[in-house]
Amino acid sequence: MSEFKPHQLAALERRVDAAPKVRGQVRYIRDLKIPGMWLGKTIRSPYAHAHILGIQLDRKFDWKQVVVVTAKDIPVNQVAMLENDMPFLAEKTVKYRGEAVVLLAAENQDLLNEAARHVRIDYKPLPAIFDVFASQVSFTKIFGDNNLFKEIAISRGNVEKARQNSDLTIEIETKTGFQEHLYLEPQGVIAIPEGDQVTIQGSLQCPYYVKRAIDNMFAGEKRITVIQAPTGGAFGGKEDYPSLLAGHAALLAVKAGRPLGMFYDREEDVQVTTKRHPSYHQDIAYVNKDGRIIGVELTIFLDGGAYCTLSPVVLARSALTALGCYHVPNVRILAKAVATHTVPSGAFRGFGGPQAIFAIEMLIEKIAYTLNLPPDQVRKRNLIRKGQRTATGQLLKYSVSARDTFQDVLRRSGYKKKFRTYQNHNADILKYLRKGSVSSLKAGEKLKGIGISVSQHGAGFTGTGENKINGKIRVEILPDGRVKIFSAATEMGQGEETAIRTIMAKALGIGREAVILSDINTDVVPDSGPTVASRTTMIVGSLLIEAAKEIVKKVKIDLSTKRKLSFTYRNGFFHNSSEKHAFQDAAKLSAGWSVEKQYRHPPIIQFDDILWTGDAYPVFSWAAAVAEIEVDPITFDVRVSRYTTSHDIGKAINPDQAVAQIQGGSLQGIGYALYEKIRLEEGHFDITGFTDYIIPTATEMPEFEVSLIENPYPYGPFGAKGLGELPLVGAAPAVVSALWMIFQEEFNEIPVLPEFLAKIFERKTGKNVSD
Amino acid sequence: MTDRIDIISPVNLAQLDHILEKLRKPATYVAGATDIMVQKSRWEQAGTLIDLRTVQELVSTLEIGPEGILIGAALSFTDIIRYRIIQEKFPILVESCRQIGSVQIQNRATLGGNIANASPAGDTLPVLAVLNAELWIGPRLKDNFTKMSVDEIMTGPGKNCLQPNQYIAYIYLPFPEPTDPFWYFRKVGQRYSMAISKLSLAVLGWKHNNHIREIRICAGSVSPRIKRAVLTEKLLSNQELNSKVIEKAATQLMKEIKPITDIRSTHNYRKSTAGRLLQESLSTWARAGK
Amino acid sequence: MKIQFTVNGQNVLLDVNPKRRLLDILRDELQLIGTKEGCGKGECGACTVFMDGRRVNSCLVPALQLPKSKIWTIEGVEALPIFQEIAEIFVNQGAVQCGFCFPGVVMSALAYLQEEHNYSTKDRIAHGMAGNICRCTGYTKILEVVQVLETHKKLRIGIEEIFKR
Repeated sequence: MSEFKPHQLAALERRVDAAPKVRGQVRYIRDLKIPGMWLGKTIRSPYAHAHILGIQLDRKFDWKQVVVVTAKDIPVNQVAMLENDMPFLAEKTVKYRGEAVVLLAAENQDLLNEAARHVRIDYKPLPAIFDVFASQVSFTKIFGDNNLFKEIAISRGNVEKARQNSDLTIEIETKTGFQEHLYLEPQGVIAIPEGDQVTIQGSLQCPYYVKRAIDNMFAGEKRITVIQAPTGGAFGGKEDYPSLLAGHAALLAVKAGRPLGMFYDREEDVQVTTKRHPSYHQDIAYVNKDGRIIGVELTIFLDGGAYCTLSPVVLARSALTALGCYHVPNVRILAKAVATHTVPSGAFRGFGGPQAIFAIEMLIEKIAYTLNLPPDQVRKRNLIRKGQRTATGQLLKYSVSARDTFQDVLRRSGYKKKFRTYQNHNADILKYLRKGSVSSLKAGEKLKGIGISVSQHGAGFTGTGENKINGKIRVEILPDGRVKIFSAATEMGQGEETAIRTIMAKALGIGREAVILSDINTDVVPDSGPTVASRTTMIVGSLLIEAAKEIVKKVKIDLSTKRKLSFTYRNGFFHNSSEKHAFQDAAKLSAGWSVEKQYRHPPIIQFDDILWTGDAYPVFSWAAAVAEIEVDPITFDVRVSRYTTSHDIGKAINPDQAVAQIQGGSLQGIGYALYEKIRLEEGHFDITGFTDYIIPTATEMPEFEVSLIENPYPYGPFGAKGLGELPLVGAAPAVVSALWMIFQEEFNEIPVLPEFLAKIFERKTGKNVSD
Repeated sequence: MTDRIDIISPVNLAQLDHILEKLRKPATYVAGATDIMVQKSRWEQAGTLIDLRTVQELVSTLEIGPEGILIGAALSFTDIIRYRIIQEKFPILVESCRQIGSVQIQNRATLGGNIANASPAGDTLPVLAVLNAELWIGPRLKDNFTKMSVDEIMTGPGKNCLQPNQYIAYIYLPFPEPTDPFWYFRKVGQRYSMAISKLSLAVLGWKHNNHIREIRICAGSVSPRIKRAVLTEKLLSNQELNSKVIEKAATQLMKEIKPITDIRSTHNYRKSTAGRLLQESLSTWARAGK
Repeated sequence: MKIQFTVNGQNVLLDVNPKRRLLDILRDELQLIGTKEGCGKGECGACTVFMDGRRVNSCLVPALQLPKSKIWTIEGVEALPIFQEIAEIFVNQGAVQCGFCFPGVVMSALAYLQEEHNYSTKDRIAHGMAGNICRCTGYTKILEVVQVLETHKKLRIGIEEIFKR
């Protein structure tokens, strides 16, 4: 941003939702005024693990004006997800601090607060487990008989032989922390009961997840409609959690017989909603002296928290991403998602990928520093290419850009030269720091670092997921000849509405204004699958392309029948030697006709989810990043000054917004590396909001140098693959790679705080400042 | 359910003092409200609120005498930052005000509030301490304000020694003499803006013939109260600045402060960083002299 | 407590709890729901409005301090003719994503332009906009908008007019 860049965006690059957002005209869930609506409140467990002995309502309080719901009121007390282990309300046992036990509804917040003071819940506290290693050997059972939500083993080649044939063995243990989504709009849901019907509206990513959960909760006794309200950021945080929240709202609404709003304030939101899984990795590499990796053994533990939620699939992505962008012929991966007495971990942009990429990239750093090779050289030596196979034996047949993105960031950032220049620059500063004397430093002098990472993200659901979901869309021709898309894909800031309408408009060769989108209402739109896993543009987009072909065919037939002539279709017009009809005029003939499309993977994509072999993802998106950082030798504050990244997402449907996504996602990943820390104290998160959960502000923003590399995916719309999650995935390892470069030390844990960096020199100077 | 809330909005100091004399219940003062409204239970329980922003003298008066300047306690940080005399005479104060919260907060929050809240992390407190600020406390007794220093008013984290009917009326800052001292202020936060301080250091000093004639040093967030580092100051006075002296001073400062480990940082980090900040400030000063 | 003040140039007379937040008065009493609550603690800036010509977090302004004040919200600002061109720049720069922080971002950007009279550096703009947290965009495009607006003399004069109202 050294110079401003005024844009003149191409018409199709302008976001369809931008103007009303800029004008503050979008109505989020909290903005809706529903006559007669009451508010809901949750009473939560103060213990991480306890028996509930009893719930007493104070008789002196006037309960007539308040509705109370406990576990006993719930027809089926299970939130339908992968395992049905999580209750809407705890009945006999609470398993995490903050778990919901009692729900209250009343006309206003004051009355709710007053009522809450008159509810007494007696507990018998029980020993709680907060450590994934303790959990695996504990007699206290949180889930199943071994506290494992899921265990995955992937094996390829012969690791034992690789060990014997290698020059040396290099090991590293890495650790990543919780991460909170901190979407700007807190969670909120409104439930409206009318007879047997319950309508749910909310800030959410996956309307059909919520519908299934509430259908199940009422044992099919109610008719459930779910409507997505404009959603103020989600990042995975509104994938699984809204099912629980909507259940609470629906229970209260039905019992109260009136509309009910459940709105979390920021503090409640950060304390009880899902977080990114903390991870522990034990990685071993068998390498040759030239840096070639001939075998790896990777072990992953994810802390899943008290209930399963999506942990098995997060774990799957973690395991399937564990090898990063490298080709290693002999691989053993063991991954476990473990239960503990903490808030359930859940979906978060990257979904197990950021942890895995951090671990493998730190292993690469360790190899480089052990062998005294440049970190870029070790990466280059092992990068995977087209025609090679992944850990699951997946043959990469197309759209592989590990090398191209890598070379591109090296070149654009000037990595190699800066690496040497910065090392020279740092030498004196480090010398002074080791001596504990900073008075010889020049004013404002900083340590300079440069780091690199390569990352990938499998687009769409893992393994056979897409074929199980069978996402559907429908497109209808309206009386005025415009087309209307019915899909459950949701907008949460990422630009889905713009992308989907753009794909359809381009596929038909018409203006985007002639393509409209249905409201996201489960009564109206088919289940296109959830808006997660960087799948929407690629999967829903490819269905739109198919639909567009049939629409053209149908209109052509209707037009030919009417005109008794044959037509060809090009650039938005049906024409022959004598006539020319614009799409929208011609389409009026087919008004009311609609086409439905259902997704199946291209048949060449095969995965065995018992043996964990085959095509884990239909295709991968690739990225590389170079982070340049400055470390203040006085305070050890780390600032990312420049961040150069290249992304291969096949084909960008909207290049401007692809860049915007990459900037935002990268900064979220930089936050993950340097600022975003949650400490757990007896199962309690020590954060209350923006004051103590530190995310980047504008002053932490680096200069972004983003480039897009086109490497089309043959089955994606115009070649597009997934984008949403990838930008976050490689950011933390790039930043931490720069710390290795400066300090020539092992960094194996994020976030890296200044307190940790300062300690390096306290140790080295031998000065004990702790009295 | 809120009980009756009394709002008192005095138009001037005379009226404020008069009301306080008669007031028989505890009152809560509101100036910029940026802190009190975040303390939910205190805010909810407050039954009598006195709005200091309506007191004309406290928001519009900046009295300048030959010796110093009198700043109304309910002036916002933005008012202070923009005030020319303060920019000229007290750049160190302007710098500390600029680093508070966001511009939105600076537009509302006040110097009086920063002092009364008595947070060890209060950004302006170390600066006021090195400026030898004098706090003028109302109500006036026989036309005289009670006067105290920053380290006197603060009795512990979040605690001040003011009686329920007392309030901070003015902050008196004597002009530094001789003029143009060396100054240094640095706040260390969890990020570059919008952060609560982990640690801060304010230094104000004068040299005479290459020797330190006077130096005032105060670190923030390192002890329950704001206190000048008098032993370090003593060690440095009459010294010529060289790397040996600087390192000795840093070691002394690290001994003199008693930081804790809390959510924002650790004892060790605060201690060693305070030492490095002092080294940075003194070496900057040493070089500036050359 | 009866209070009288102006919002977007209109006189308002209300009887409210003196501790009520300006944010709630705007949203619940005056139906001005463009202003958003992201944290309620003056940290995120989503509720930024103008009060007497300066930007403030409306979640930290109590009703008791409202008498005689002049408040401007996103609704008032976006209705001004000059805003058409400003909105156009935000849209054209691709600056918005989920939009929840945006009413605050827009108010803050305009206030920044009125506070700074010179062409400013990237760092200065970043500091000036740091009170508005956005989790989607990574800020780059938002700051670019501010830079574009800064060079736009006519718009700058127009923006300064808003603060004189």
